[in-house]
Amino acid sequence: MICEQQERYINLSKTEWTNVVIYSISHGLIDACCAAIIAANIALGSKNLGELSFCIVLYNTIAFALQAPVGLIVDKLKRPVESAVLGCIFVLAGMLVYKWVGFSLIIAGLGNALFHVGGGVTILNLRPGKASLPGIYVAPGAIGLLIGTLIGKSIYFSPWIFSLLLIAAAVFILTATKSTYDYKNEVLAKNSSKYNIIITCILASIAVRGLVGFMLAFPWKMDLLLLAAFTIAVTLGKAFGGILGDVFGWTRVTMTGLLISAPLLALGIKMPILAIAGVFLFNLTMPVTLVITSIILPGKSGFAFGLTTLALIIGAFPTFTGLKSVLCYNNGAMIMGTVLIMALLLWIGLKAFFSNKT
Amino acid sequence: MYKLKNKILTAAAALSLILFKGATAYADAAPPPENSSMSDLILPAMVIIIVCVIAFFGIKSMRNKK
Repeated sequence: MICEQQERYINLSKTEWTNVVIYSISHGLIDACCAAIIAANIALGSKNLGELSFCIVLYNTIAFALQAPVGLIVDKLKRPVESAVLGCIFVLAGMLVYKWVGFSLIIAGLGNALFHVGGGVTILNLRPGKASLPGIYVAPGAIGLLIGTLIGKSIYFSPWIFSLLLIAAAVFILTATKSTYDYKNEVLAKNSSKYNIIITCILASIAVRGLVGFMLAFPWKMDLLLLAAFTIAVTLGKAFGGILGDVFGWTRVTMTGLLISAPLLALGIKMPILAIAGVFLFNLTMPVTLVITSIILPGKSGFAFGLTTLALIIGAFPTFTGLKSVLCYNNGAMIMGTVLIMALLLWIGLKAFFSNKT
Repeated sequence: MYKLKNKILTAAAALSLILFKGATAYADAAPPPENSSMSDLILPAMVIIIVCVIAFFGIKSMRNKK
């Protein structure tokens, strides 16, 4: 429990704050651009829904799965800032050719992967071993997706405005003072069976989180106001998960959050307020699982970040298949059972992690 | 440790039963997925499998550095 007890509050320097603000806002922007490309093509109706859904699945696969190999390359070259800037440029290119939906989504997906890894490495290295900053960095993604979807479908969609914002983000990233990066190569785990348990259980819990995220296809999400409240709850959950975890302890916060969220999400099919509270608590785990993965792969923050998103897409993949009709049928018992399986996996992983540290 | 392992297995089995019950109860009643074709998923699935292999060797190489 050492990590949970030491230095609970983080006092950030001006440089660190600048990095967190720039990368977090840019993260929201990148996700907004990618969502806008998809939404604009749906609104245009240039492709049939079958072709479009194939492009979306391929985009998700590229954006999430490729972060692992991109992370390995970024760690090898030690160029996270360049990766984030290149990500902005790729998404910009995708935005400019958004009407060629297949090609556009492939390069936007690659840009998304490059940006996430570059930003992730920078933020994870600001305060190694702390979950607060990674949580704040990842949180705006959900809001970005919602805003991008709404703008993409509306008459106000303009690829040029998004392009200018992406150029501004790239310039801010390049001009921000660089943080120091930790590239030491050592493995924290003292015994290999513990190492296997930690990495397997943490990544499996992330995969189950990805599955649950897609299972929550509540009918009331058609209401824009409720959808916005739901998305804000996801964002706040990710942002506060790290802060609360660093202050009160990772195990306490994540396990309490998950165990309370299970019945709330199950009952939330008919009662949106319960689902909104539940999804806030459910997302508290995100920053903690990300930081633990980066701790057990020291000096490989990019690869660690990529492994978490790879686990997410593996978990979500069944919902792209015919199983979708079963998984996304809003069955309360199934949602609750899946969240409890995630809690069990995370608990085993956390127990092994802390017992290994002490 | 042995007792803990048993408890975990029992809990996992119970949760799997809940999931299985839910799945079988709704499988027939659920509507078919819209606009989806299994052949469309081959390319994404291949990408994920290849990345998984890369990730596996990435993790393995780190362990060997101990």
